[in-house]
Amino acid sequence: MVDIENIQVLNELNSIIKADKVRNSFSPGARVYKEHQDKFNVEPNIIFRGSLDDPELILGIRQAISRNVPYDELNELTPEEQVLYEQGGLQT
Amino acid sequence: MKSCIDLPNQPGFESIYAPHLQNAVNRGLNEADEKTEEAAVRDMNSILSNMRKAGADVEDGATFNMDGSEYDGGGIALPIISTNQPVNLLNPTKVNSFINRHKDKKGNIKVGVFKFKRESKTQFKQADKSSMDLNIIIQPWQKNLGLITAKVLRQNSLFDLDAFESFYTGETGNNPLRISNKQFALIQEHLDKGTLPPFVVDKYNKLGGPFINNKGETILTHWSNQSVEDLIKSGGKINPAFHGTGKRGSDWRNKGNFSRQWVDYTSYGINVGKKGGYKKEPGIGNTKYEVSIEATELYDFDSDPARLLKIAKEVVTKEGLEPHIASAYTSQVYIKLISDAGFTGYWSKKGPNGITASVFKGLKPDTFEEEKVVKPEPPVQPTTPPVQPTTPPVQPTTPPVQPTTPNNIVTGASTVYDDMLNRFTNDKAKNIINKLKKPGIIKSIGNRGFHKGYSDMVVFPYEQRNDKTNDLEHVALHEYGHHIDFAIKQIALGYNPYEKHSARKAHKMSHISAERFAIPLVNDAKRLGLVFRGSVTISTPGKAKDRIRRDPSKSSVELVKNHITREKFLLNLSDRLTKMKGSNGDGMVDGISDIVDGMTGGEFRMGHPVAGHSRAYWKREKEAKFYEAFANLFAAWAHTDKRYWDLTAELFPETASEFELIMEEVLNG
Repeated sequence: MVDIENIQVLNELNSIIKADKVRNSFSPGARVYKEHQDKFNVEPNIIFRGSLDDPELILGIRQAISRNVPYDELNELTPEEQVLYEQGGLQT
Repeated sequence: MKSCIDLPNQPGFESIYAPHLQNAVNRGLNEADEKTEEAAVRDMNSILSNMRKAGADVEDGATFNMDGSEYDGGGIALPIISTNQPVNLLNPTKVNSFINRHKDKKGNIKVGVFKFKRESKTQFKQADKSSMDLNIIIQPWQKNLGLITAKVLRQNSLFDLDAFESFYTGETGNNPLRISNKQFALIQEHLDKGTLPPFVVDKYNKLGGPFINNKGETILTHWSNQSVEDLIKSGGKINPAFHGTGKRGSDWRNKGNFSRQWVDYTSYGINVGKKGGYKKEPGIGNTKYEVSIEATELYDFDSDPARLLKIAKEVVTKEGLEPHIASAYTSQVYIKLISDAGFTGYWSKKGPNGITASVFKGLKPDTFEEEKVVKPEPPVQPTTPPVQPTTPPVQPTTPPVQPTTPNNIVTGASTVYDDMLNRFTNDKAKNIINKLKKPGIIKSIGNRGFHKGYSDMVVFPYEQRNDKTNDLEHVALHEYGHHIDFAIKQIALGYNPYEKHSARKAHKMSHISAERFAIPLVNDAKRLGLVFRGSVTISTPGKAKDRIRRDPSKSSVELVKNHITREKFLLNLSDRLTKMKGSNGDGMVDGISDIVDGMTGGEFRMGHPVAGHSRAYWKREKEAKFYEAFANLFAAWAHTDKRYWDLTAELFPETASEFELIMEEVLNG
């Protein structure tokens, strides 16, 4: 027996997923992020605060993709700061 | 006529980059026009035969794939392993044997064969020399890394297979460094990542030139009388057009005397603070700027790898100048040739204060610091007291004028930061900032913002970084907010945790927000429907769908319903914040979305056009949501525009109330 409530919940979830997809297709940041994930099998390593649609971030990820190197903002820190960041001693 | 390189009409310039090779290529291009489709890829035997037959003063070369066919693709050839032999012994057996020796190596590797030209009659008595090189083909963005690697390996040059242009290292290439297979693989691995292996960095830094980091960058330091405010007003770059406005160098007369060859430049110190590095001379200003630059953008003036000085001398000889003028003029033509060849500047060790760079282009500083001026010792006071006047001084009838802004923030760092904070911080926040200990260091590193308790350092930009409204305001107040969180915790502890504990332990106890926000922030998140039973495992609509398919029980459906409520709330909030941000965006609104992003572990930013941190950032440390919430609450509370705090207090009432309580405790404590 099919539970009507389950179907309603599933339908609602489907419409949320569809809306997310439409929204993301209009977001250049989300598109380039996915491109990065598809190419390298990892998410870009973003440590600084901001939006996915930040033009500087998009440019950086695009460059990383064209250079065949995963995007990693840790490289902007000194070696000492990288250790502190990994330990939780650096807030952005 | 076709030409492989479009050379500028500089006298003597045509001889910089392997002229005979260029001519050979140009001839080839024109012949190719006539024989269009004929044999695009040549046969190794005929290539080597032509090389053997070529005259003593002709350079020639070819590149082969690892199957022995000719490589006609592009890129830049970086020679790693080389062997030299007389050109008359070059034959396909030798080349194929060299290829076979290196067949096991991976990556985009090719074998280059190059015939040198005879430089003088005494050279290569038996026969002209040739070399066989195992090359890694790199891309233009890796050129700096390639040149540094080639220099360390004592290779003569890189060769651009697209432009038929050589980039010289200054080494002869006669005695290349031998490396192991492991080092070969390391070079490839690092070049792919845009870095240099440690052994290359170490060896390069022992050569006595500019020190580099693993990205092949060197730090240039410039001191100026120009304040940071003026720098910002004039475009944010250290501008060579200001040459001569500071302390004059010995060449300042050349600007007038040889105006046609003059190139404006800015002087920088290199390896400052390191052994053999530049030592600051008096009278050059107290605002210290640092810029990082790819090391090979600077030409090595003293060793002159592309032999530009020889060309400069030829030019000056042709002009027949008086000997006393010719010397200064030659230097000027040499510098002009360096500039025309596309270098950003040059470096030299010949100055009296150590290694320096002269830079032709405007560079944007990464960091700056206003150095404190050391005041001279006060004069010795006389041992007998001065005679007191017998009549008291006349008291003024009107009281002295009080400063109009008694509460202004004084951080003790550059006044640029004080002015900035004073511009958009309200009075109650100024009171808090003034009451608490100031950060040990406030500095700017590019466009980034962060707080590092370990060094008691706050980093944020000193100028607007984009067109967004309130972007600079938010990043400055947010990062300062992290410092406030850290400073209040030190009052609670009675000491700085980094002075008593290991860094790892100190991180865990360095913010008051971790204990004071633990309950109210979670309560606010629950009230908004962001945290509920199952919210961690059902973090996305996709996962919720999987859950209900796997387990269609009543309790499972209830959890998924909670998830749907959360998704609806996030969508509504995203729309509301987007409207508030307006068309330009608003940095202060970014702080509010960041609090929600922390509550959802980064899902809010992933699914909506709002600012936040990455999922990995929130996962890295579970207290991060408290630290970031505190910094964002401080920014909203401290800003002169009250709308941001009103919305923050509406969305997160318990946390906002706790925050206000903490601020009151600071003011009354």
